[in-house]
Amino acid sequence: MTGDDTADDRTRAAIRAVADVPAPPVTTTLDSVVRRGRRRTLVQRGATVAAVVGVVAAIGVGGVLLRTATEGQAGRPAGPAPTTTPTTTTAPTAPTTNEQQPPSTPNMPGNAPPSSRGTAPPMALLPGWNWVGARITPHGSEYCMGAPAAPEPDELALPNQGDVRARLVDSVSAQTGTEPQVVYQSWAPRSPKTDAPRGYLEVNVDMGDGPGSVQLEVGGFGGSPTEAADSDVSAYGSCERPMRTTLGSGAVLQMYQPDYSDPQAPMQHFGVYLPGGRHYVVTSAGYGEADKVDIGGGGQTIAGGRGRLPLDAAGLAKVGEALAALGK
Amino acid sequence: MRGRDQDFAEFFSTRFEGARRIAYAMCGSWSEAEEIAQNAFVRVYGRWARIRIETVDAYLRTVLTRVFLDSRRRGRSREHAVAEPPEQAVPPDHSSDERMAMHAALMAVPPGQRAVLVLRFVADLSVEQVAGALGCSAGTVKSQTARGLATLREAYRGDPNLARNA
Repeated sequence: MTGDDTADDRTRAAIRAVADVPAPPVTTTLDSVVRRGRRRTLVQRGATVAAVVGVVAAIGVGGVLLRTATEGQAGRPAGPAPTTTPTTTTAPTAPTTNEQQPPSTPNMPGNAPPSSRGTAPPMALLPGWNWVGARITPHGSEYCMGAPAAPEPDELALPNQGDVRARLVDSVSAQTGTEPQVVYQSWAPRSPKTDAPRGYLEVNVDMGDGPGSVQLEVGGFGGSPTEAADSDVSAYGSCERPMRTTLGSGAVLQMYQPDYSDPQAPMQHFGVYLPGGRHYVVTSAGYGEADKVDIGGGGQTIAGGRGRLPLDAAGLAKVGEALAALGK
Repeated sequence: MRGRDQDFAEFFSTRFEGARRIAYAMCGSWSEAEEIAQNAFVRVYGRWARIRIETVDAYLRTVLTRVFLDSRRRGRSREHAVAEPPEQAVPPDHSSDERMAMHAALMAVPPGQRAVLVLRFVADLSVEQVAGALGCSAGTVKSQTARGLATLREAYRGDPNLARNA
């Protein structure tokens, strides 16, 4: 060891010792962080919408003034000032439907808190599926939670990455009629995000005006498939009921309402719970790799999107069924 | 594996204490460290669905450091050359006296340099990792480290041997 190494080690130890002291109890709760996080997201989105509306209005007013000035300079006969129709913009909405609407959380105590999931109409019930009747509990005024957490899952080794990737690509291709491109894949024996084995695959699909994506998370769950699905009934914070079906194999499929809270980059999640404890989450997202922008420190944000989903509910269900058929 | 909020809950439960400790080393106050860590996790939550798994820890460090530096730029917490003693959960002894002296010296280091020192020596990051967290070059990290250590050397008077080595 050199003298510099010794000095560096001593300094390192001395500085580290500053933080190596008994700490007072943590007072921050997960609930407070989630509540503030949701509020912050809504405020940011509101500011973005306001800015877009402001720019559109400014362009509209500017255009009218310019045209008026041009017409005046051309020596046209004086007359009443031209009237203008306010320029308006509307967020893209999902297709409307006349099919059965989901129940309004019949076993929820009191009124459900307002959804923060945008203005898309609820999805239609697929044949053979039912709205989930599991209890949904409002948590404050910001989000909802499902049944108490199922038991911790046993360590479940990840399935073969190539098998899962091939099944995802083939099923997405069959539903979209395009050739999906794998843009990202990770098969971590221990994920820092879940502290458990976790696989992740992301494919981009051509939506005509740009890419959309289908994302797949692979992990495990504890308890029975139904218990786990009940626990996850509000896994994405939404208070709207998902729909569910159970396959002959015992696999439980759970489809969540589409999330249009970011109108340009909507998302829809789909859970697959296999009897052996395997959990797949398929996410259909209206943005692709080209819409991601680095924000430093390894983080990314979405700077664009198609405003619609690459898979409809039926297509998403087919992809989920294909993964369930893997049986592992 | 669970949904987004469950994943975040797991991440929060395993990372918050460490993040708070790093924030404490940066700011010198447990109550402010709690606030900094909380603000960092709020920001991480807002982008949770869009942070890649491999980079989630790096992203948390970046956000944590930015929240700390932002608080200093805003002047919300006025810096003192000699910080107040931290909250103590155990009676001070000789080693804690030394620790408090080093703590006070660290608080005398400018916030940017202090953040570099904490990330390098408390979070135990490499020069490249600190550069990534701060969005600067490795060279900048090295120069900031050298300057920070120089300031620390001047401020620390409790242990001449350590001060000389630092």
